[in-house]
Amino acid sequence: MKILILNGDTRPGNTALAAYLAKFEAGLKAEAAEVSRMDLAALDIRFCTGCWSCWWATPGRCVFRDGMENIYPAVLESDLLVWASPLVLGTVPTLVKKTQDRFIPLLHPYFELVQGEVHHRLRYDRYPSLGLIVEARSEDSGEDLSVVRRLFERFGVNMHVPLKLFASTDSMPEEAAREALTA
Amino acid sequence: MKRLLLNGSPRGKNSNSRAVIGWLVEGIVSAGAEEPVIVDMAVNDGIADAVEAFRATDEIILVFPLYTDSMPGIVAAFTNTLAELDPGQIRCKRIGYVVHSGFPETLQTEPLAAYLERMSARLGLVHLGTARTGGSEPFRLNPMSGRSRTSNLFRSVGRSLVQRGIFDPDTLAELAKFRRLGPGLQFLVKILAPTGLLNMYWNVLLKKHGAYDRRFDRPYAPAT
Repeated sequence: MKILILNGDTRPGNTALAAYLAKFEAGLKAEAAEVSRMDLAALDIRFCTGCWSCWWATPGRCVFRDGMENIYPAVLESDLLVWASPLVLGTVPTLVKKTQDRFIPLLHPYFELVQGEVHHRLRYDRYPSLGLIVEARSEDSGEDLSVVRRLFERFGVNMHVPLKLFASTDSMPEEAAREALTA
Repeated sequence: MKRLLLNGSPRGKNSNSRAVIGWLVEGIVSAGAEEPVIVDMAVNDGIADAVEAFRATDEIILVFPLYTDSMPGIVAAFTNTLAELDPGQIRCKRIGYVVHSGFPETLQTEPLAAYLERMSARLGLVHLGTARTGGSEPFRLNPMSGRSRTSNLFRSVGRSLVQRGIFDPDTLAELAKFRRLGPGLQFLVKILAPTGLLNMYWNVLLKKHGAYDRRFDRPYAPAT
């Protein structure tokens, strides 16, 4: 099983999220999963400008040739894509959101029904299921966590895949690893 | 009173958000209020300009398209900057949102609307309402869209803000009325999908860019 972690932490040092991810990764590797991690902060990722060249001029390719060029093939090769992010105002911060925006070249512009809703058709044969690990702040309530979870479930519907793992850094990383392996 | 309209579309001035802003301004002005200030976040130092204008204004409308089921990255950059400000500088400002999607159904913007309400409360802002509508991609392109029912509803939203200090809830409900496709429309989409009729817009643009034959390209397909 191939697991790709996209780490959206921009803070230096041993944050709660970094400590959690270290244990989470160790738990996955102990079960012989193939784990790779990309730190989004180390990649140059530009904001999507909504030009839609990736849909109608250079199908499947963004006009920006930046850090996303490393991410696209890695995503398509993985079985589970785990987003790891601190929460800012109860949701993922700019770095993570702009990376999500840049996922549209992976989809085809054509419309089709997904769960009775209009969505874009897939460009590739298979996509990884999703996971989300968040580091909440003291002011984040259980309701905030369910709101961000819901936003990622919707992101999953858009990519025709389920959100298989949702965890906060308050939980046991070993347990999240077990959950990820059954995803 | 000073009002600020923030355009959070990554497309800047040439955007469906700008079309909506035009309709809101018409409603606001027709109710006797002064012309609002407009800032395009995607233009040059737009995010810094938006933050500066936000600090200087009491009432703000933030307009943006749905991007991958949430706010576009540049709008996140804006809200993340607000989070770093001294809370006392922004507390009690009044804010309303317009979220529009190319997808026709408004159920697709519901989770984001729930988020925006919580975010406003967390920043200590007074939430005036969130206007949601689907099918927004033709707004900027169709010369008739300025006469549409949707444009009139947005004018009403602008008027209600001046006259009553909120986004009129009945108008918001009207804008968001098309929540999901009924069984008949779902069936229609299913049978039209293979005919190409549903995707005429895309095909015209693919052909215009000489990319129609490459439309199914998979540049990042893993080697098998």
